Amino acid sequence: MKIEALRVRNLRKFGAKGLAIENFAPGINLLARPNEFGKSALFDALRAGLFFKPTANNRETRALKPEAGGDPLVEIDLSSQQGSFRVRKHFMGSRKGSGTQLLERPTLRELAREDAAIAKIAEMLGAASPTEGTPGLLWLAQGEGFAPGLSGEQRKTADGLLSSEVTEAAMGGDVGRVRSRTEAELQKLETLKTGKATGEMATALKTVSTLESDVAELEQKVRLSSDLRSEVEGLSKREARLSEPKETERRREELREARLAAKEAELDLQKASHTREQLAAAEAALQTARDKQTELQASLKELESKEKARGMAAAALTAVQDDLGHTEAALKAASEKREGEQARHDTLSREFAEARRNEALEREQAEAERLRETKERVDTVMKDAQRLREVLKAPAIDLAQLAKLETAVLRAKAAEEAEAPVLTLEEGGPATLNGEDLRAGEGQTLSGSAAIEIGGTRLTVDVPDRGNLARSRATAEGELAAFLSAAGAKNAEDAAEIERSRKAAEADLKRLDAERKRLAPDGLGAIEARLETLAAAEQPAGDLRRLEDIEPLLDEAKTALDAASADERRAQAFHKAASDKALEAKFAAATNEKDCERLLSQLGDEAARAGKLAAAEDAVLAGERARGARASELEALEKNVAAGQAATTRLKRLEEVERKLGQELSSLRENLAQKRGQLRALDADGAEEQLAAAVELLEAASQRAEQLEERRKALRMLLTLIDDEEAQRRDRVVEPVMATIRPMAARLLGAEALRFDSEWRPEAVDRQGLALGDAQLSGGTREQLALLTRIGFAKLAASQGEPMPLILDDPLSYADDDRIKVSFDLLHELAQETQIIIFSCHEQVFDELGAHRLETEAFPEN
Amino acid sequence: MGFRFLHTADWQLGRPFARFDAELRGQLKDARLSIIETLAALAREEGVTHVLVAGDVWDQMAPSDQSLRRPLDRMRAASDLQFWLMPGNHDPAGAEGLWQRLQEMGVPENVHLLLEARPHQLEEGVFVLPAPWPTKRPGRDLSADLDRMETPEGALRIGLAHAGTEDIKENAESAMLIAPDRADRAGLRYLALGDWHGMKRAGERTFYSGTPEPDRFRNNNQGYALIVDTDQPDAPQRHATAQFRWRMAEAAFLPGDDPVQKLADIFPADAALDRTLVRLEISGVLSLSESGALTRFLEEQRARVAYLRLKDQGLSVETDARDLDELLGDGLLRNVAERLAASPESEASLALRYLDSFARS
Repeated sequence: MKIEALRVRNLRKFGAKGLAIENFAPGINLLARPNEFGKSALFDALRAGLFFKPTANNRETRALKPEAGGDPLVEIDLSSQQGSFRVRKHFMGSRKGSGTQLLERPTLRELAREDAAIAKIAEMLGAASPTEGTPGLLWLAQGEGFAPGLSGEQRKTADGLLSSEVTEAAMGGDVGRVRSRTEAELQKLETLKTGKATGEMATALKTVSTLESDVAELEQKVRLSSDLRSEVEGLSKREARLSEPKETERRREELREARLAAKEAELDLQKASHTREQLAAAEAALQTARDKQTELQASLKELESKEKARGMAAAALTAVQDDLGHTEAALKAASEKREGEQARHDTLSREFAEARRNEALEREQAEAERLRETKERVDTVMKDAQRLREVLKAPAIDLAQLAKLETAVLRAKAAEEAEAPVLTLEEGGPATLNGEDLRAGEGQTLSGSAAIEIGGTRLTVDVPDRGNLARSRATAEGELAAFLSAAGAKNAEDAAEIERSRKAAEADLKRLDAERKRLAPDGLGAIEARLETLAAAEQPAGDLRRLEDIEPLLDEAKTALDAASADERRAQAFHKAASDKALEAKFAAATNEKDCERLLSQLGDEAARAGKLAAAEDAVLAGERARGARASELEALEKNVAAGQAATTRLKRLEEVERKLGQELSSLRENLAQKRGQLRALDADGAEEQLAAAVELLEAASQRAEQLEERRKALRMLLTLIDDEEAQRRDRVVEPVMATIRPMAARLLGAEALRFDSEWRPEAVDRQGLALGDAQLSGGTREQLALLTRIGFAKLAASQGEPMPLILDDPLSYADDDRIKVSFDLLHELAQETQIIIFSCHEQVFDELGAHRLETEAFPEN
Repeated sequence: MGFRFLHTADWQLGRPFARFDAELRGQLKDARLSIIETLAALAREEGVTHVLVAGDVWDQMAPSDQSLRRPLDRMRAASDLQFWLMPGNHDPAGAEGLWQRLQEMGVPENVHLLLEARPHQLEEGVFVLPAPWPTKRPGRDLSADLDRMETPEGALRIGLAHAGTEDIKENAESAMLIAPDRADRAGLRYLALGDWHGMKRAGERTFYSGTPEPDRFRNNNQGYALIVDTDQPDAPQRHATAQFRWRMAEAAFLPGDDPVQKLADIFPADAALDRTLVRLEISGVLSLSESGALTRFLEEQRARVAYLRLKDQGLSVETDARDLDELLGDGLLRNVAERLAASPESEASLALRYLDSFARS
């Protein structure tokens, strides 16, 4: 089959304008265009045109859609031995509107459409599946060469190609079915990869294990039940033995006898007890008789002594009464003496008090006198002070200022005098100046108009006015005069005197104030008030004895009184003691008397007393006899009691045995009932039945597991053998391809040996003895191996019938120059019988390929 | 006509049948419980009053309350009959065991527990002399006690015992086997035996009735009860009582046999088999195609019967060239088949049958 034209519209990059390649040639075709041209889209368009179902809405059909929108259309013109055809596919993204047409060329008559068309196309392509076929195996998409091996679909195609080579693989389809049935059956029992039990097998094994533990558990339960049964049986036997009638009867009889014996013993015991009580009563009666006898004897003795005491008491009373009289007289005398002393002391005391009061009044008189004097002095002081204060009212004179003013006058005068003419009478005389006589030798200062008379001659001298000096002096003199006048002084001395006396007055006033304060610190009013009080007081008497005279007399009287008082108290004590004694003696005598009377009335006269004594003695004797009798009676009885005690002890023992047996039986029965209950509960569940069932189930389950295991082994064996046979077959059928590929690989890669595994992954390339696995091969080598296998398959396909075009999207991207050359040779060899279409973006790489260049144009309009 | 009664044994009540699926298990248990009604109907039909059960009334020493009470209720319902139950080796009268429980529960008036080895009067002048099992392993011939049992002069003595005999001892201790001349020695008119599940004569006037409802794969006359007339003690009448049939079958094949033909009598085409349990052991050699036919046939039969247990380990499959050509041509599968046929491994035969089956379908 050969492709002659490809047209696309609305497919991926190619929009409404579309693209068409109309010049495909039989040999090698090359479409060299830069990246992003859409070569891969064209590659996909070829696949879609030949294999895709336009009605399918899947990832691959959706991937054809252009980004700009629109429904992809693909047309492929092809020719085969059957003729020339056009395939037209419209991909609408849904069932509606999508369509496939197969047209005859050049008439373009429709041969088939839809499924019929698709089936026809598939037939022409020799496709095993409707989506892929030999072309799918041969077409190497960009980058696909790096993925190791073939895809599942491709592998199937390869197997198909190969199996037709091998006659013995006629039943190949059956092998697949048998294998998948075997796997399916085995998968019911185990996981194929791990061999781990699963499904029925796992269930069976689990059931066995569960049942094994069930059986163990139930065995345990049955064992428990069996143990419990033995225990209950033992208990039951013991219970039967204990409640065995003969034995029970024997014990009962023994007990009855013991009870009788014990009863007799009890009677003896009671008798003894009664006798013991009687003995005690006899002893008590004896004691009473003895007590009475003793009592009587004591009374008689007492009477005797009381009678003796009666006389002694009377004598003692008389003596005591005498003593009482003496003490009474002594007491009277002491009292009188003390009273006299008391009177004297009282008189003196009163006088002493009077004197003391009088002397206080005298002291008040003296104080009043002193206060009057003080008052007078204070008055004087206060008057003087008043006077001084008047003086001090005048202001103080500033003596320093005065001195200054005087100095100023003197200075002014001196200055004036120094300038003035001096007139001196040297000799002769008399002469006057201004009416006053001039003495010889004494110079006179002249000022103003000076009238000099000598001898009748009168002369006038006018001293010219020395104005300034005169005014200064006048001013100073004026100031001084004013000062003095203000001070009220005639002159400076007078002023000093005035000032001095003022200062003295100041000092006097201070002194007077201090004195006043000292004399009347609380003021004059206080003195006057005290004076008033004192004036109101009583006047002292003048004729009383002085205190100091009375005091010794009073002390003396006090001492005498104290002594008299002490004497009196002593006398009182003696008297009291005597009086007490007398009372006591009187009481003792009276008591004794009363006792005597009582005893006499009680005991009677002498004869009566003797009778009483004899009776008491008789009673004691009788009591002693009675007691002796009871004692011997008791002794006899106690012997019986000792024997009876043995009978009682035996009864007790037998009763204890019976009680214990009863207890044991009761607890035994309780235990038995409880255990039996447990046993019955276990039995009710039917543990044995369950165990039997479980054992049976386990047996069945084990058989089932064995059966399954046998089945598993058989299936596994079958599968292993199929695998083994298949491996052998593959080796045989792959051989033709290998025979094609091996020399090419030797040329291209220098590889000496090449193997592929079942998925067509290269297993090893032995080059110079070096073995390489798929993972160790370079990308280029893998790419070239992928190309080689495709060439191999293409040759194989061609040899079997119609050759299919080999389409390569950017192959040899990684090949070096040498390998490219070898590859070109190989492609040319193949191109003799097979159409080859190459898409590439490396135009120069393929310059030397000598390929037919494909041209592109727009989708034709018609 | 002498005194007539029904002789039965080995009811094995409470048997679990656990290996079977729930439905069949229920049916089998029901069938066991129905023994009582079946026997009651037979007794009435035959005009007998007394039903003597010669041991193994229950399957276990400690059955569940359910297994105890339900049969008692059914016997109570058959109040016109007298049931005489004797402990056997499966249900001995050990202390604190099921018989004591029965006594505690209180048995119906028409149910008599034969727990002591002494004569019990059935009717005026008719005594049953039981040899009950007191423990699991009494270690002696219990029926020897019957020799010493005293009954009034001229009384009719019917023995009731449970054990094997010299003929059928299976695994029993020989000390416990019933003496063959026991009926004579003990002056018995008839000795009713239990233990052997099939109906069988065991000596002069001595019979096993077998179990009235089969419970195991053994072709030994299971599923009967005996109506005994003391005037004809050597000829008790056998009556079928079984609801289920337990069939044990074997078939040995040779190449060339038609397996379907050979198994036709085990799986009769014209009979309902839903109450038949089959244990089939096949052996011999079959060709691949015959083996395939056998497998298909057995699968069909499995759907018809109540239960099919197949033991086919003894069967091997032979391949011949004709088989292989027909089935596998000369390709890969044929190689596999030939290798399997030649393999000494035990699973190879089954693997071959799988191959046959997968290749055919």
